[in-house]
Amino acid sequence: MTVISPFLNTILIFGGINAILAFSLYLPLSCGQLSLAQGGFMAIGAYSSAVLTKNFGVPFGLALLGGGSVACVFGYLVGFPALRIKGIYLLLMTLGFNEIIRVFFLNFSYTGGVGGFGGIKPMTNLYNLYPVLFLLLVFYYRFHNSHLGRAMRAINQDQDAAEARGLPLTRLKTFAFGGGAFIAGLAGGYYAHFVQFIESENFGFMTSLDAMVYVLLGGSQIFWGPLLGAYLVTTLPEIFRVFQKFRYEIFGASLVLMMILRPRGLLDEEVCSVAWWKELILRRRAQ
Amino acid sequence: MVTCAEPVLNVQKAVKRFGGSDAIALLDLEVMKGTIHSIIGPNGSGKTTLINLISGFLPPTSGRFVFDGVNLERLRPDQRVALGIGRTFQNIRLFGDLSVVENVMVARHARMKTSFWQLLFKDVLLRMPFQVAAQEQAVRKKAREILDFVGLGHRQSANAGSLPYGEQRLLELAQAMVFEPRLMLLDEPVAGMNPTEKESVKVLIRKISQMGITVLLIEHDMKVVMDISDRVSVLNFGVKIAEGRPADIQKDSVVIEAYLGKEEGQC
Ligand SMILES: Nc1ncnc2c1ncn2[C@@H]1O[C@H](COP(=O)(O)OP(=O)(O)O)[C@@H](O)[C@H]1O
Ligand SMILES: [Mg+2]
Repeated sequence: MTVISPFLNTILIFGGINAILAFSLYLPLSCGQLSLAQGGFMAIGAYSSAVLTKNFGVPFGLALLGGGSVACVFGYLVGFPALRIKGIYLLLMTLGFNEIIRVFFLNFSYTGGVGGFGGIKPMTNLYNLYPVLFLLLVFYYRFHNSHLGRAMRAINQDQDAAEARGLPLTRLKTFAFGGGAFIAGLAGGYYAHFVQFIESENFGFMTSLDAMVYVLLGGSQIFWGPLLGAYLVTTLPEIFRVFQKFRYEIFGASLVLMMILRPRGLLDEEVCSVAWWKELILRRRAQ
Repeated sequence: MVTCAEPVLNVQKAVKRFGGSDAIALLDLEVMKGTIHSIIGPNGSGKTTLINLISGFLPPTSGRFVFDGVNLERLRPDQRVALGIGRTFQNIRLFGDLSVVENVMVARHARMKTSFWQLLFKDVLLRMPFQVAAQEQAVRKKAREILDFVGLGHRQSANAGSLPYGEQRLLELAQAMVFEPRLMLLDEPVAGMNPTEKESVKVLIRKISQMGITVLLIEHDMKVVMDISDRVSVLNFGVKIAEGRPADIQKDSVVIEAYLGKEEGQC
């Protein structure tokens, strides 16, 4: 079926799943809510969709939506208390939620508890993953330039001023959390149906942290940022394989270097504008 | 300047306590429909606090605020905007990374005829490729109209944060009026402007008033206040010490003592 090597196939699938996970964090972050709960939402989506396909024979597409929807409900549940919390306290609260979810699945015998949940059918492939990733990209592109996207950006800059200009904070901020959780749930569904065996440790604090690295490295101001960040983090350690044992050191060093050179992430709105590239090319020519 | 004897805003026994002291102490205020009503008073007399209470930016310690027959208690700031109360900030609060026209468009939210879910599904999720969102063009057009009105038509795509001070104040004015308010609360709209800019804002405020929008104006510049106000209230330590027509206020000995005389030439 595939014309590419299994290795490249795996890289592309994980790159795509990680990009979806990065997108899931980008939505709440675009209105100033930094969440460490994305791993938890991913777990909810992974377990729910796997139960749907394995135990109930639900088609993969519906199971993905189902997993995303369950995660979305929890996203809204976290989104309401999150309204009153800012900055580091929001991180702690979402981290706490992530732990609750992790420990829940560790003890929930219906989905295998400590032993994990296996025997999930391998459904995820490039042909059902990449169209969805593309749709998400289209969604973010449109969202960024829509009235709601503008509202999110305004809230991100000064939420009290945004409210004084008539924007309903509760509506918008909880939607960002719920929508982000839905997308994380999708990532979980794809993940579960690729690796075929999941356990709660797959979705711990580190997964949430990964999502944050993707977004902060790639750039959190524009939707191309999380996409780039996810692919860089997924592929760089593989590319650095030639350095053998040192590849993670080199990977870590390159992250540090990139953050020093571009502290607001690799991409921002400026770099993603046509005008910026035009000017760059003109300057090159002039030299 | 039509002066109907009907209050559009009614503040009764308002109190706002910060720590141990009252920034607003049992204040009563009636603002008549269609007027330009100015509030003057020395620094720290509670003028900005009053605007924050009316716009819902701060909760009052006690008191009643009624706008056009609606009790404002329990209404969030965005709900008060939807009712028709616009405001500007003394210490400008723009969305600096958004463009000028985006700043105005986003402030049109209260008058958009579609719900949140319609905005999400119609404009973002289910829109056909190359089709422009239904509201988008109308909102942009309205925003441009307002920007032309305040004299920022040539600045639409600049970043709001990059505007000079005077233009930032004008942009706030545009944000406060783009959703067709019935009452505008202006907190020192000409502070830091040069005489030419001041003059043009004065003309703008008159025009706004002629559109039928009631204006509650806080201003230090006595010339501006005396020129355009229908009514002036004087605050001192959160209490109203005088109220009347501009000419009467200028003559009032209490006012002169508390404010006009002493503060001559200051801010
Ligand atoms: N958010 C706040 N917290 C604490 N004190 C405040 C706050 N806002 C205003 N005050 C105090 O309330 C008083 C009135 O301030 P303000 O309303 O800004 O006066 P004005 O606008 O007339 O200069 C001042 O003493 C000020 O220090
Ligand atoms: Mg003030």
